[in-house]
Amino acid sequence: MSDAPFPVPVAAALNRLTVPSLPSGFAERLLQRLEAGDLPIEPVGELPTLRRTAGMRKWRRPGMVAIGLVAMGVTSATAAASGFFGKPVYVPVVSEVLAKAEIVKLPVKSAAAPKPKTVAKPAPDKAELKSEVTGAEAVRKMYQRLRADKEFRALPQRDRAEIAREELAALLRAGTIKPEDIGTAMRAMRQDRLANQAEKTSNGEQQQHRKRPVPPVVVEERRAAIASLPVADKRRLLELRRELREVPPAERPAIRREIRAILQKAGENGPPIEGIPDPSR
Amino acid sequence: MQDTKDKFLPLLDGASDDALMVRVAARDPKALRLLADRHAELPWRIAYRMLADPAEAEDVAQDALLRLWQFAERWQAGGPGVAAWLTRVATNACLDRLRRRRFVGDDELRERADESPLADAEIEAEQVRQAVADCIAALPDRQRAAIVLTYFEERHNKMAAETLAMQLKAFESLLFRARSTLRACVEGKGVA
Repeated sequence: MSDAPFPVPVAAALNRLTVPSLPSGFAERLLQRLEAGDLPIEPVGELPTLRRTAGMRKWRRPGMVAIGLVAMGVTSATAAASGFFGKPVYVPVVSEVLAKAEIVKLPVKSAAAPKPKTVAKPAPDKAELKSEVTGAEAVRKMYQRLRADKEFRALPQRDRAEIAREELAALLRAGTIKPEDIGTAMRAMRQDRLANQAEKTSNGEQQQHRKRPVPPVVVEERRAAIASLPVADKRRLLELRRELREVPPAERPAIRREIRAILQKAGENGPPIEGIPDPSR
Repeated sequence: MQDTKDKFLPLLDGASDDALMVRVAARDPKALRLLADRHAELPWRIAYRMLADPAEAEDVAQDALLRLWQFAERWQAGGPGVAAWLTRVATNACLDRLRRRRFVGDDELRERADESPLADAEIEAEQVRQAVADCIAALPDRQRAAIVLTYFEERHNKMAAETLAMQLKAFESLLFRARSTLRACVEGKGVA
């Protein structure tokens, strides 16, 4: 009958359970019942219900949807907390459970990925806000205070700019400065900086990592040498250049050293790598 | 009535089940009669094997067809078909009756087997048949339905699962248990 669900002897025994033909007069008795109105009592729905009551079935689908959503939420939270999507993200409760189980360490806020608002933001100078110093001078003071802060200097440029913007916004809100004071202070600070540089140059000081213009011929030769590098080296070079833009200044010398090493490899058959600052010097 | 039947039946005889259901919805008893001629064996067989009682089996088969009469106005052409509908209704009716039996205890009302003298071969065949019937009757209701639908009526597991309103995996598990129990029972009775 079906695909051998039973051994042959058992199947043979089962096949003995034959069913006789319909009793004679079945159809006539059926029509008699119909004429007499002797119909089944229970109303017929779309199909008879069997296992679950209507009340239970009504809540079954929404319940399953809700359980699915909760499960998906917990799964993605666990994945994020365990670092499945990259760096582990702190998720309340889940991260602590994972840390307790020694699966991941609790995410630590490092200098490499700082949150400017919470980590390295120097406390605003109350004197600035209390209008003891006002106008462009307050802006200058604010920048001086920030630059004097070691943590601030270690931040990437983008974060430093954001902190400075917030400080300026606070000064504006406090009425200590006006918008035009910012421009005035910026121009003054730029002039100061240029004057300092001119003074240093006249004293024979030279910034060590100041870029010197590289002749176009050398640039072309260097490009050809880099093109001849193995693919892995070229890929690493791109990564290092990207990192160089993103990491804080303190970490840049190490990256520069590695770039220099790769370029030196290319330079063995190419031009000298002048113009690339050597951090060891 | 017989004259009318003779006059119209040939016209309906070649009609599809769906066309007959349209006539049934128009309250045409002749169409129901034709459907009964085509499909009544199916609920009868299911009920006979599940209930092991010819009188009850006939009741189930007739009830299933009368329910088709009641349901005709809502019938949708192109669906699973009359046979599938009757299978489901008859199976559920049998399960209801088995459930009711446990409360009412109407085992004694069942028709007794024919006790007239039989030849030796027939006696042996009847013993095997009775042993198998007892084993099937000993199965839990839903396991019994699973065996009747898949083994005797040769329904695919998926269709049988739908008939019993079960998930396929759950049905397959039920069927596995049913087969194991039935096999052990039949072998245990020494008729296999």
